[in-house]
Amino acid sequence: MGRTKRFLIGGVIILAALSYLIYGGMREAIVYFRTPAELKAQEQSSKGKSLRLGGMVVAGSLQKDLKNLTYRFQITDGVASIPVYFHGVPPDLFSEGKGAVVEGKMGADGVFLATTIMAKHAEEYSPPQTGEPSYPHSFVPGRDEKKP
Amino acid sequence: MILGGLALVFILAGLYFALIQAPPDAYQGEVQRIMYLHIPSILTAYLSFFIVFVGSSLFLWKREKRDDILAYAGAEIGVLFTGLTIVEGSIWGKPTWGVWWTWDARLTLTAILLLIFVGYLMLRSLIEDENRSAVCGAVLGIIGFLDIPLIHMSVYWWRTLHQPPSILRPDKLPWENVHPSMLIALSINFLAFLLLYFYFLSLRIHVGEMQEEVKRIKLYGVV
Repeated sequence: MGRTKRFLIGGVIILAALSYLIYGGMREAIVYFRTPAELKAQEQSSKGKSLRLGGMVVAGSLQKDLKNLTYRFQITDGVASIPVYFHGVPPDLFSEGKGAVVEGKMGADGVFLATTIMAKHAEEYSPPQTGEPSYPHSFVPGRDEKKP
Repeated sequence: MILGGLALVFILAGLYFALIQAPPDAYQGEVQRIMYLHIPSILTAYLSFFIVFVGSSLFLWKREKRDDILAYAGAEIGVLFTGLTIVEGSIWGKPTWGVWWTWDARLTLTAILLLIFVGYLMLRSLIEDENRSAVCGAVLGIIGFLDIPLIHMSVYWWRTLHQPPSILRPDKLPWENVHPSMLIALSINFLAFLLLYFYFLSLRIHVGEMQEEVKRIKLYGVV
């Protein structure tokens, strides 16, 4: 009987986790991130709400202050772009002209205050071309120290 | 036994190809090598749950014990490979995406797949009546399998952090996404996983058959 009871408790926990994931998790996952154009359209209703914003990091928009670890950049979907402010350490693959998803809140001044940056990458894999710097974004400890 | 030995040979060859022979990725560098485990793991898990689906359907149709043994075995090994996929995915995600986990559609649906089949295993050991356990398992196994097409299509239907498939897609050939030098390493590792999978499956089916034998002996006495 003790065994059955334990399994029943486990079963209830799994069932609860499953229903939470299916209802709560998938509802959130269906709109995993908003595009800049969508966020601009819902600027009033989304103010102060935690949400994700996704798109391309506009080339030339990235301003890093490595001393204070602050990053300012624009995220665009080709229609609209939204300025983002981030304080922290972004992932290695985060760079201009590439996809990124940021988590945070829309500030009152129209700047998105990001607490997390996630870098998107493509489903394509290939070796580095001869002549080009090999995998500039790779996570290799100590790599930056060797840079001139 | 031969299957196990062959799997070992291919695992060693796969490791050599994945870690030494294949080049690093132009964009991600060395961490991209996790792909050589991550893709074979999830494809093996998909295959395993497909076997659960087939075994469960056959059992509901013909009520033969051997189909139930097949389904149960597939569920157990499928849970193993799904768990592995999630762990490898996390290890890959942290240095590339920047996070171990995120609740996008593909990851959420994969977590659901794992939970459904952990639930399946619990259900099987919870229900003492053997026939009822097999029937309930078969129904859950079929429902659980239906999550796989959702996982596969999730990256097309919804916005996700996870990238679209590199291999399993009708619109592009595998070597258009994965450079041939990397595709060789991926294929060898996939073969290694398949061999390992069928080795595990044959062992697990053997265990299932022995359990049946023990039950029979307990009921009717020795042979």
